[in-house]
Amino acid sequence: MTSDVLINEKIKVWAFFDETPVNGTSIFPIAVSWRRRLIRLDKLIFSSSRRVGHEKILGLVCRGENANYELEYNTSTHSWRMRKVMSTE
Amino acid sequence: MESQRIILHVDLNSFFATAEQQANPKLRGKPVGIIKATGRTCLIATSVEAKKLGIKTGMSVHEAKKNYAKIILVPADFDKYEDITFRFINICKTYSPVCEVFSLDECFIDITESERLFGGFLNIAFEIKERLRSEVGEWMSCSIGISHNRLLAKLGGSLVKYDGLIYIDKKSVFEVLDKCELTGVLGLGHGLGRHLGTLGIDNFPKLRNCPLPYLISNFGPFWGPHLYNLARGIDGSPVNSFHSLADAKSVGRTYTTHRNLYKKEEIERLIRNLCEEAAAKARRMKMAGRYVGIALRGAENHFWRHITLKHYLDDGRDLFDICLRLTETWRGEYVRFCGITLSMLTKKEYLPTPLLSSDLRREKLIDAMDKVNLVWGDYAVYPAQLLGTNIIRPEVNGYFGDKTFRLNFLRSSG
Repeated sequence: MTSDVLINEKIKVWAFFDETPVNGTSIFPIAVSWRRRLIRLDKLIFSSSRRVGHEKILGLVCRGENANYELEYNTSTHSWRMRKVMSTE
Repeated sequence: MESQRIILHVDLNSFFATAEQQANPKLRGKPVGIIKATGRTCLIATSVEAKKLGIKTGMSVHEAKKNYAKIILVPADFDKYEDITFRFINICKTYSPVCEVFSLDECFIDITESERLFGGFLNIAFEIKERLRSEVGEWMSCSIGISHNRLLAKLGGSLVKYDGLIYIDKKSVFEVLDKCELTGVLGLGHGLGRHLGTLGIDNFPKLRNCPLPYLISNFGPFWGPHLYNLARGIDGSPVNSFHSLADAKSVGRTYTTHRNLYKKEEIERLIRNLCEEAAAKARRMKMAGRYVGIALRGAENHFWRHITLKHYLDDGRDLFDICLRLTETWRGEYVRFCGITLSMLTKKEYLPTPLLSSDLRREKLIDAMDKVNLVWGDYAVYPAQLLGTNIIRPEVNGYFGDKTFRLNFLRSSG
């Protein structure tokens, strides 16, 4: 199996919204505040979306300095979760 | 007429595995096997790198590890695959409204009428590849076959795996066909292949040498001409746009359990769960059915029963009650697989409204339950019988068997 670490914790995210979608999304996370650490994100690797009833949840995989992070953004509640941390090697 | 058509067949390469490699760059360039869920033992998809090591879809994890012990196993994420599929379809349908969603990772596009608007078929093909990378992800790739009919377009796509592109014109049809195995083309399955084998026909040149009356006498009035045309690369079948998909004829759900189920209550809960999903799907399509089928499998015990009712139903509880009656004669030791089918569907609006007040109450209750589940998600409200169980939730399958249901939003958006 892969060595991903499942986190599933609420987090704070700084993001900007752009009119021009890249990789199917217009939301670009820039930094994450998680467990009293500020993690800078430099690239959006992948995005996907799923629906739970009327709620649309975006899954965003971003590249950080030491790892890749899978974030989840709930477009109804505007809340963010850290889903997974994935090693880069 | 046929020479004027231009059909594209676009096929996402090693779809599930490539999607996982796109989402997790660490997996890129490595042999990856996709399993249904953690603990499952069958590979439902493999990456390009795994295929090069002889690891194929359908192999057990045990077999795969014999080929390459360090294969990376990743549980499938069907929400992710479905989302990519919709984005893929959205790309394809911009080039022509005549776009057929063939499976989760394959589309046929008839660009006969729209080709010149986009600067020719090669431009369209390269643009699809480019847009797939920019709109879905840089690791995503597709193979594209272009020809004057569906048969040859699909055949072309399968000949140039991994980001390939091929155009088969009328002159090169025989040359391409003769390089292929008989059962490697659309419309010639293993059954027909075996039958042809018994007649000593094991390649396309031999099939082409068979006169039409000979094929008709051996394969009947349908398959005879079909094979005759196939050997010559002739296929007049239209590309069926998702706009004109026929209504579903059946709904159903199958599930293989993680462990053997011995207890009666556990088996009944599994059946109920699948019945609820099948019935909910029918209701969402505003349909009801009157053919009910159930399949149960244990170690060596394959059980299949069905019944055609006089009345239509779309209630999970009614479906479950009928399934229970059908399984009264089942004497297996345990269950590992269960499948439910509700077929002979018709539109709910054609059916009479219930007369009895108890039936009306039940219908209102189901309607309320559906409304809650539509807002809060599947199984936000569910029958008490399923309390305390790990609920099996709806998910898309590779063949996109329920595309009539899942493509509804595309049809309505145009």
